[in-house]
Amino acid sequence: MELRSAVARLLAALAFLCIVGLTGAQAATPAESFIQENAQKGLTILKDASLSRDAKHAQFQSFLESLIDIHRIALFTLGPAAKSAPPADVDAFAEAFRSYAAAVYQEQFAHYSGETLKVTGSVERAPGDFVVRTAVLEPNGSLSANAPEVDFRVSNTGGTLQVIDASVMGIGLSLQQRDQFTAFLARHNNDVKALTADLLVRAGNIRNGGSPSGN
Amino acid sequence: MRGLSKLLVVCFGLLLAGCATDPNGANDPYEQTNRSVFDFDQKLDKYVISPSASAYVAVVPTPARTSIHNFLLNLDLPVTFVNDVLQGEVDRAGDTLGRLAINSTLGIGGLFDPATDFNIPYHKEDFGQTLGTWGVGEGPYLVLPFLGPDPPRDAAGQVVDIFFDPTTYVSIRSHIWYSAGRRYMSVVDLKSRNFDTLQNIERGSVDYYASVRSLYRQLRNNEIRNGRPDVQNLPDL
Repeated sequence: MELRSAVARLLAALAFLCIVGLTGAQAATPAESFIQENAQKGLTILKDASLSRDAKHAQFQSFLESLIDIHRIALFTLGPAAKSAPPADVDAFAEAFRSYAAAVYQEQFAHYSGETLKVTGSVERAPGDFVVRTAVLEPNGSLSANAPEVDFRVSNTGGTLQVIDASVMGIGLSLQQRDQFTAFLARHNNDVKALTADLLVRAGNIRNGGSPSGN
Repeated sequence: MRGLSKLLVVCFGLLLAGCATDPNGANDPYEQTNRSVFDFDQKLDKYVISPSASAYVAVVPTPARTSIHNFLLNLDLPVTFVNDVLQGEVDRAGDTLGRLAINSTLGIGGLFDPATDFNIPYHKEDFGQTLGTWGVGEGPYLVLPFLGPDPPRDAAGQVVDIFFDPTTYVSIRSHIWYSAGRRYMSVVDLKSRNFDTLQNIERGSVDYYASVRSLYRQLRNNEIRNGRPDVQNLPDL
C-alpha cells in the first residue's frame, strides 16, 4: 500500500468533499444525493470567479459549517475528557477545533488539481447513520489503479443530513484526531485548556502560511 | 539452531500478542519505552535515512528508481503468494502468481511492471496479516529500533515470512549483507516516495508518536480486511 496516497488523501478527505466535483453517477439514496449535491455546491463556490479570495474563503467556510457537524466531531475527538472536563473548557475547545479545522480545509485549496469523486455506493450501518463510498478520479476522469477510496459518514439527525467523518483507505479522520488528542491530554495532565491553546496556535500558523507546528 | 531461535521469537511474539493491555485504551503499556525508541528511530531517520533518500533521488534518475522499486516489490511476491493461499484468497493468489510470472519474464526480472498493464493489480500480504485474518490480535503496541511500529503479531509474522522467502534458501556467502541491503533499499525507496507526506504528517501532528500509532493500526487493519469496509465497527460519534 502506498502510504503517500493513503495519508495525503486522509488529510484532505473532508476538504475533498467540498473541493471536488462529482461525476454524473446516479445517486440512489438520500445520503448519496446529499454527498453529490453538496460536492457540486462546494465546487461552484470555488469556481466562482466573481468572488474575491477572502469572500470565497468566507463563503466556503460558511458552506462547510452547514455541511459538517464540526461540534459533534470535536466532542468525539476530545475523548473521555468531553464528559469529565468543565463545560466551559469543552466549549472553548470545540470553538478552537472549529477554527483549526477551517484553517486546515482552506489550506487544502492550494492542493486541488481537478480531481473528481465518483459515488460507488452506500450502506446504512444503523438507522440514520450512513457510509457513502466514493472513488477519487484523475482530472481526466480516469480511475487509476491505485485510486484511493474515500468514505463519508453521513448522519441524519432530526431530518438533517450532515457529514460526521471521512476515511481514506480505512483510515478514519476523526479517530486519528482523537488518538492524538487523548495522547496529548494524557501527557498534559488532562488539561483541555492546553490542547485548546495548542490548536489555536496551529490554526494561526496555518493562516499565516506556515506549518501548523510553526517549525 | 537458527531455525529454532526464529521459532522461539515467533512463539514469544504470539504469547505477547495474547496479553498485556493498558487501561488507557491505547493498548500501549510500554509507551514510555516506545516513545524513547521512537525518538531513536526519528534520529536515525533524520541523520541516516533521509539523507540517503535525498541523495538517492538526486543521483539516481527517475526511471532507474522506478525499476528498483519494481524489483523490490517483485522480490516480495513469493511471500505474498504463500500468505494469499494461507488466507484462502484464491483470486488474489492468482493475481500474485500472474504478476510474478509476467514481471519476472516480460518485466526482465521484475525491473519493469507489465503486469499492471495487463490489469493485474499489485497487493502485498505478510504473515502478520494472515495471523490477523485468523483472529490473532496485534498485542501491545511496540516500536522497535530500526524497524518502527512492530507489535508482537506483526514482528512474529516477519520472522515467519523469512521461511516463505525463496531467497532465504539460496546459498549466498554474504547473505546477511544481502538481507540488510534489501531492507535498507526498501526503506530508502519508501522514504524517497513519501518525503512530503511524511513531513506533512509530522508537522501537522499534535502528537506525532500517537499519530503514527493510530495510522499504523488503521492501515494494518485495513490491509487485513484487504480494503473491505468495516462499517459495523466504526466508532460511535
